Amino acid sequence: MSVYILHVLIMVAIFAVLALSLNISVGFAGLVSLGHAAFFGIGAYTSGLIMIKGLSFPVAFGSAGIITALLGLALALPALRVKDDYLAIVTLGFGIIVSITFMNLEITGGPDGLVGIPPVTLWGNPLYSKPGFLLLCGVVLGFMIASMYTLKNSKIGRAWAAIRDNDVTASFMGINIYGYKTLAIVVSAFWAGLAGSLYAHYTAYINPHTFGLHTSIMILSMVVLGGIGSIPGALLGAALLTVLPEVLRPLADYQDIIYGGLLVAMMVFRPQGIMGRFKITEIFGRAR
Amino acid sequence: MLLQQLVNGLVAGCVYALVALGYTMIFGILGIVNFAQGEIYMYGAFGAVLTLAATGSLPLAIAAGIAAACLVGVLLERFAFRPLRGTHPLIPLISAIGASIFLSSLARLIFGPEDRSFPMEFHPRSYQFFGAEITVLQLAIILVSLALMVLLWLFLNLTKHGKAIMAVAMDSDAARLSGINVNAAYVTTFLLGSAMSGVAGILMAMYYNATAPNMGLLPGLKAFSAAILGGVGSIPGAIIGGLVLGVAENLGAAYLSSHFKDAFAFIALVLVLIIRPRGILGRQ
Amino acid sequence: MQRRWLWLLVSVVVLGMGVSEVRAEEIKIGAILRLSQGASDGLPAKRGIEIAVKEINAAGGIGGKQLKVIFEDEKDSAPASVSAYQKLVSMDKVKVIIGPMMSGNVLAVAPLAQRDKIVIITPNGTSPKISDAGEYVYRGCTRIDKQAAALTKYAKESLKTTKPVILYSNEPYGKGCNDLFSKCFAELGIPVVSTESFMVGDRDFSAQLTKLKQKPFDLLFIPGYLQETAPAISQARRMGITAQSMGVFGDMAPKYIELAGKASEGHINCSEYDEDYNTPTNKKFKDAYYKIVMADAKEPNNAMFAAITYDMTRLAAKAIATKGGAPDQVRGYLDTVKDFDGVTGKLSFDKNGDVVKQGVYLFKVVKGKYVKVK
Repeated sequence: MSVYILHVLIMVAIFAVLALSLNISVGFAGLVSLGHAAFFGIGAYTSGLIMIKGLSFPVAFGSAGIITALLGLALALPALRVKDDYLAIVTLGFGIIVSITFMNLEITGGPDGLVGIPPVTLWGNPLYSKPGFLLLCGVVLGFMIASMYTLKNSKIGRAWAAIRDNDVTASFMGINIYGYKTLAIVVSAFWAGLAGSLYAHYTAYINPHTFGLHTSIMILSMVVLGGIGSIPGALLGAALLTVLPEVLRPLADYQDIIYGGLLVAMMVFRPQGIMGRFKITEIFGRAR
Repeated sequence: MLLQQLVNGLVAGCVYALVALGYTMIFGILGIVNFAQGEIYMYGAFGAVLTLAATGSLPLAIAAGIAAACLVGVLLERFAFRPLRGTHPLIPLISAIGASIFLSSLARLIFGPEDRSFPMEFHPRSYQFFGAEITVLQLAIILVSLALMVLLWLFLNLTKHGKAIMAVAMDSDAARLSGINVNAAYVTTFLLGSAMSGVAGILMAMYYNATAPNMGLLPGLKAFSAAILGGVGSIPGAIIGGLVLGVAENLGAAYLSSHFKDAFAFIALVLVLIIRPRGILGRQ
Repeated sequence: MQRRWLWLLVSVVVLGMGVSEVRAEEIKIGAILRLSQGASDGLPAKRGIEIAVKEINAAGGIGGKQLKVIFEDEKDSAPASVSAYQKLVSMDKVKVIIGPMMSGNVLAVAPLAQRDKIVIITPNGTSPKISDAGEYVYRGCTRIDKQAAALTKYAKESLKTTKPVILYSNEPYGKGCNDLFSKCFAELGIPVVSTESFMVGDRDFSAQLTKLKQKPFDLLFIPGYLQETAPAISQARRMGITAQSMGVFGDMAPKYIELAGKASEGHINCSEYDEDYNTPTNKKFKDAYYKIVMADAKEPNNAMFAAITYDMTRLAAKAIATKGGAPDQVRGYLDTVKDFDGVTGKLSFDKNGDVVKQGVYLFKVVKGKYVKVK
């Protein structure tokens, strides 16, 4: 039983990093993204391929973050030009284009995916043990939570909050909206890439299916259910949506119905999420 | 080959346009992205297929399909959107996503996971022109779609109810002040949008001969892109967006790579939005 | 308010993770099948297992103990398959798992099974990579290259094909077929003229078919799942393509003929199962399976998937009964079994763990029914 629980906890940790990363763009800066799983995938493939080529884990891990961040920049440049309301569909389109690309490139293994990804090696020793991997994830998650709080309370975080509230007012205050929004997407992509790296080396096998729209929606749901903008909320959302399918195994046929219904019910009855303390209008300003 | 691919694209585009009209009207009036539009399309198809299998009457089946689609649309409006009026757009978006997941898994539970054929044979007849071919069914799809689009345009611009909807779309507060029943306008919009998607679903059930609980997902996303590409909130925009998307997809698959066919819809969207951030016919 | 939510969550987690009962009078094996997406394949597979279990238990079980199968859903997703695997191995303590069904998911679970020394038997994962996945991984269907060799040979010799084209489903199954069949056709001196692809979920193939039509061809090979291959051939015929059509075992289901309609006439495909295989075991199985199908209109009808899992379950049970329930004992049986009385044929496994039967079954659709061809 313990191996199973460790497995679930590791998945929670990885998705917690992922949910927190999406929280940066959605929660802190108010930018809706329906394509976040693409960043997860880019990080996973990058890290997997680098280690398959024989380089070390730190190189792979770091590259996953950096390359994903660069691709985040590439997305942000055109995407932020469109009207705010369209950002959701553009990110959705980006996500689909990326996953179809994964499906068709030789280097990513095409639809078969990457087989035989090497495990994490620390100081030369491969990390096969689950408690060890959980510790690694915990360390990464810990760093991330710390940096999230730092960001939130920093000048950058305050600029994001101002933009999220009302970007017209923010620009009048002299904030470079475009620059800060781009920064939000890039940082968010960076951490998602790191999560992808952890995922690739844990499961040793990845394929394009895992990084599609369904996963993007799930990550967004984690953020929203937990409470947009709330750091403990994103953690709770990740835990909830990772553990719930396991707990609901006896109800396997009804899982999707429950998931869909839960999302609707949450939005109708408690849109600020479980941990959200404010009314959603306070977080996002008046409805446009 | 070009002409044939254009015909193919036109047929697909007409269907995207019908669903895109639903999206654009709902977005234009309520500011909501109805992610579940594809599921309305799917229930329309099931309504028709099941009724046809049970009664053998095509007109009854079509009516039943449209009714089913409208019913789903009205229920969506009442339970997933109306309580969320006035909130930040992200909230109804998530609600719509949840509704979409709920509705398609419900369909899987009720109807079973298998694809269903359309219980009717169609004329294999086709017409040739300039080296391209168009079947009777394809022609029917194009004509029916165009007819519906024209009817919708007439309704919105020439009837009292239609003009009320346009007024609400422009400024709901002013419309309310001038005595327009805004709630009725919302419900009518949903009914119209759902009916169009329902018809699209029925046409596709006939064309592909495969009705399944998950059939609405991909067309829904593409139609959504079409609505945005054409300029959300604009009726002609949705039509142009749908047609452009259908043609872009087919030409891309034909001349570039069929591997990326499904991506072309979204690539086209991104390209258009970069050049014209509001979409082709997008207004203020 | 929030603390109450947290407590609720914690208690749900704790309750949910409860230890599963270990009853001494039961032998448990696991199954990871496509029970939500792809249920039209996964449900028949489940029925095959259920029929086998019922038979075995009615005959006294395995060494007096009842056989119990714990089903999990692979959800057409690699992470979900891995979670299902972990749950089965770690909580239910199974040593043998039938599934997953999709190649990608098998490849995800295989390294774990190798490390944990758990026997996994995929009923219909077709990727060649599964043969190299390890000695604990077994496959219940013919390797795709044997199917390819048989079909391409038939195409050249009986259909007199000279110009084949391929329209494949761009996922491991279809793509694997495309790669292998292209190779086989080339080796036979009839190289493929052109190829196009589509995605799972697509229903509109007019672009690809129009493109293929630009060059003349006499065989249209469409490997993939029937939800796509059936509309594909239907559209092809509507577009005036008259070339002979061919598919792999995904097309072996009455649903294919239903969805493709008249377009399915003359279609050649291979199958893992021949309903007319004349053995008492097969007759008994067929009766049991069709009884289930007739009882519920919503039940998918696919005897092939049921037949494969039926055989695999019985093989696993026989292994446990004769050699013991530990994974290496089960392997010992599977590696050495000869001419097992399966409904899919006389079975054994080769050194890669792939099943060996007397040959591939080829079928042709004649007047709306499958007819065996040689």
